[in-house]
Amino acid sequence: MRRGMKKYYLLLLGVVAAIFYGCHAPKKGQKQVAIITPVSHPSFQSMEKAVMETMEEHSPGKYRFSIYNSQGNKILMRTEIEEVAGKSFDLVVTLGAAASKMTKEIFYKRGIATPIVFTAAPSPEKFHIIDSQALYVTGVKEEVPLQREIECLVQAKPEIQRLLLVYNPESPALVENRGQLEVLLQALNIRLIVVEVFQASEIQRKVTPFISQVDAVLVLKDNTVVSGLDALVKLCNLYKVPLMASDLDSPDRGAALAYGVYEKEFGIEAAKQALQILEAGIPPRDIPVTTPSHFILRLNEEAAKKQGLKLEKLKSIACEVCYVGSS
Amino acid sequence: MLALLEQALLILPLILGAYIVISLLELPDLSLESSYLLGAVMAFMTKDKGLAIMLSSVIGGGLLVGAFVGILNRLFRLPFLISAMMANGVFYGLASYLLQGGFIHFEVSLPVEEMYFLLAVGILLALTVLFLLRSQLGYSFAIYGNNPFFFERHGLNGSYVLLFGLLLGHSLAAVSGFLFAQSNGFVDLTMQTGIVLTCITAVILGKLVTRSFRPNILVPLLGVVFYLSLQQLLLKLGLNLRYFNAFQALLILATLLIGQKRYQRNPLHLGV
Repeated sequence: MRRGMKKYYLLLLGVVAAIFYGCHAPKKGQKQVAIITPVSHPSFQSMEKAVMETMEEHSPGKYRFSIYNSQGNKILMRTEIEEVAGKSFDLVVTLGAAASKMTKEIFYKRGIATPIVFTAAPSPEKFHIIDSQALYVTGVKEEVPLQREIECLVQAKPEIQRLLLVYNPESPALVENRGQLEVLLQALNIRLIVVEVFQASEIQRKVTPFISQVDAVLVLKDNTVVSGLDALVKLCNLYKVPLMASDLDSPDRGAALAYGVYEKEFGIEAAKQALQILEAGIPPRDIPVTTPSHFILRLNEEAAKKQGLKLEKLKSIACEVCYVGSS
Repeated sequence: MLALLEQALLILPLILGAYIVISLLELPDLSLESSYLLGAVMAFMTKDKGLAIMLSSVIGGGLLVGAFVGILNRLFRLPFLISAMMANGVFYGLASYLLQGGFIHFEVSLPVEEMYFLLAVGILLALTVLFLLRSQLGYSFAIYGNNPFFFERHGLNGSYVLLFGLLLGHSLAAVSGFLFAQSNGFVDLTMQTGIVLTCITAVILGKLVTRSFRPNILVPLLGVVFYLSLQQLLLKLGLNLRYFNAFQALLILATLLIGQKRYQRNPLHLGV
């Protein structure tokens, strides 16, 4: 009886494996693209979606996408990249610095010439994602246009003298942004006060002692702070201090202003480069590293009023403005 | 195949360390994460000082974490889980301070090709652990794990056994952190995420196939092989590794529940 059952189990396993293989097998003529993402996060998900939609829109049915997500575990990420290296993908899209760096290193070590298009990676030269070894690598760099962001903030509140930056210093890009911000604000005679947070739950406790002493609060492209934005919004509303963010989703959650690009732009830009490689046959080394260029200022009028900004000042900001409720 | 061997050699020291700490000493040691991270950070800090100094500082980082947890537990009488959590907090802060950033490019020039280097380190560490496990010390680890009060009841000080096991296990984890960072070309403050689950899964798989009640080097060695084989099998079946953490947790749960039924007098705790 037991032996008979074993046979059925084995048969069932075989059928499941065959179905899996059937579902996953590429159609003839389809090009295979791997997308390596470090963790499930709304930003990365919108980038993944934008890559797939842009390529699919350009050539319907021509591409087959495989998404590899290691959920923050670097040992799993390594296994996934080794798996991608061992398969015959036509192109690999990597999201974020860690996935891009690891993919480039492993492909170089294994002598694999599959093109890599990275996106949303800050300072790719500094982290050696782009260097003399990386002949098959190009991509989209993440940059925060701090100067323009501060200009917008100063136009919205000209009397600003002290600016509070809340950020997580674990991210090298954010540490770099902080340095740039210090230089920028010094030239404008604005004092920078910094609060470092490592977890979203620390925001309220660490920001409260400073909030009454500052004229505005700035948030960078910082996942930790953005995930705990609600606490910051409450404090800013209570003390009538305007909150400026660097991601365009924050005004929907109560930030008065945000200057930046939509995350999907990183995916669209990466997809364009991927298409240049796969369709036009341009080698990756001949495609320059780019940055998304469509920056806009997004306003939440209700939050701006609560946070002590005058609407007539906001309307005079010389910039492409988009209001909450429109995208 | 070569890639798989390389991956196995990268995590082998970590699993050897976890076998001593989690399986033999039966300690819920989450601070292996700190040693793994600190090993990579110490290597980065001493990358221009030569390989010998670099390796010494890597091992030193692991020893520091092991000693910290051991002292909190034995001297200050804190429960082990709390000591490990304290260590994670302290050493994460230290790593963050030393690194001055969350993600740093890290390149080491090795005296030989990377694969030979990994093989040499793996064989050396496996032989050292084999020798220790066959000595009285190895059996003392298992005795301590089986009954932490055994030594005290015989008028001996069990703290030395615990401390030596912790120092050994954590320095092995630190070496693994260094190897992983140099192989990937970067040190990352989140590189330790999920490694305790990896350790427990590998040790459990090793225990399932060896079924040994004595200290046995085959447990971590086969654990690494079966852990990576399991990953490969799931990938070949077309399953997404995004759910691998959940899969590992379920596997551990199933093994522990079955183990509890089978060994009702002496259940398999693995430090948890």
